[in-house]
Amino acid sequence: MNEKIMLVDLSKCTACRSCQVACKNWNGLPAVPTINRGTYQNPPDLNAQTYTLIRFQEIEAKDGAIKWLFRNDKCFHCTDAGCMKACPVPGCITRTESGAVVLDSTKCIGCKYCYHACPFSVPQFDAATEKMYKCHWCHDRQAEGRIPACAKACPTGTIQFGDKDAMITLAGKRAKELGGDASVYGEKHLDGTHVVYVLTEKPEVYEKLPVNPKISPLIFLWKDVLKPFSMLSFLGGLGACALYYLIKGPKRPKFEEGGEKHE
Amino acid sequence: MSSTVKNSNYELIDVTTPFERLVHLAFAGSCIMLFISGFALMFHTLSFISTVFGGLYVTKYVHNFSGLLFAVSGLFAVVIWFKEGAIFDADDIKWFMKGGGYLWTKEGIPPQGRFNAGQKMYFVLKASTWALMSVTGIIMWFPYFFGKEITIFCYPLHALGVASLAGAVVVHGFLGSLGNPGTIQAMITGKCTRAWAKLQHAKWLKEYDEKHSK
Repeated sequence: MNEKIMLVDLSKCTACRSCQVACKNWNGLPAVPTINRGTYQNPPDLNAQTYTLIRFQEIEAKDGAIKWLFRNDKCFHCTDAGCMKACPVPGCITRTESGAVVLDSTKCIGCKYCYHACPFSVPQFDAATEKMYKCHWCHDRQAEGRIPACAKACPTGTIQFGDKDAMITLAGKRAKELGGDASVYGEKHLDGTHVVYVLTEKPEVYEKLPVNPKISPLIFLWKDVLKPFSMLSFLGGLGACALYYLIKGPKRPKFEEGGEKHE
Repeated sequence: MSSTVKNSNYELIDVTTPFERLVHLAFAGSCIMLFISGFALMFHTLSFISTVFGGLYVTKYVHNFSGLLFAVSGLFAVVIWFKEGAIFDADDIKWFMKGGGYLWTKEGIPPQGRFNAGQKMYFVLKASTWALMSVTGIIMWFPYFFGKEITIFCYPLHALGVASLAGAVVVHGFLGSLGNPGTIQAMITGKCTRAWAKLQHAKWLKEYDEKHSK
């Protein structure tokens, strides 16, 4: 299978939430009861039963009018994926040929490292099962030659799914066409995310969208520096003790000198 | 062998209290469990270790609850040994200058109290990492309560604790057993021989004799 890209052209989104419903439908996920918080954004955030979400945001346009921004939020399927770096369970978070980062919740132990290592805070914890859940890019559909459910359901052409090069070209063309503050988001981040946005506004305008997403240097310090050092420390201690025992030997008390009285 | 003859080298002397041994057992036992389960969780290549606990999911809980025992027993350890473990004197400096008699010389080692300078150093390391590991560990256990910004700092700090502790724990275990025969009994039965005390903790033995002579 070729490497794929999911192009999300936010200029076309009408916030119909077909993607949200299709995702729930395909994955057999229940609705989450919520309360009216004075916004159409519902549920309030991604959760263990909601892998994709339309974010509603009101901004003031240059002419003073109120403008609505919609953003289809979900896992970005990063090439340099923080969740994969942090996960302690072998084979729990894996990558498919098309580029999906798949979290196998049946293997998850609920440590929540992936949530903290993810620059977008995507993986979500379910207290009932004590496991993490996130968008898996419908890797099961892709394996059968189908496109992800959200892309299939999108009626406006906001979500498009196809081969990497074609989608990147299309994204660049579309951003140019829109002009102004429009830009392509994702292809240059984290060695290339597999979900790429065409944003109509500058990235900083969007809520909960990092302008320059990066895996925290603390994660590198943890996994690439201190983790090997802890093994080095253990083996070093073991080696030093073995050498000492072989060369110097144990320090034994002297019993032979007899029972002289100690002062 | 008349092991109980007074003032003979074979005389058995009480060197630790039962409470000290209980605290040591809980602290050391939980620490070893934490290392085994922690290494299984840290290295994919060592995750096979988790099989003995029943998989990584259970291993996480073994780690969490061993951590609780570690935090509680560590508190007792710090309190009961602080006076003997954290205060260094001139003899301790001399001990360090001679490498404790373990490395390049065996001569001129100043007589040591119930804890020698190396053990004191280990106590200081252990006390500080006890605090570090307990605090970062509890935050990592309940990250949503503390928030992402705080939790993400705890990951490298927790690993820093492992890196500074792993080698020291191995060396401590070695010096307390194979390296110095007669030592491990102090933490099991609580008794040592007069000959051992003379060799390892002469200053303490002197105090002991003064206290026990009428």
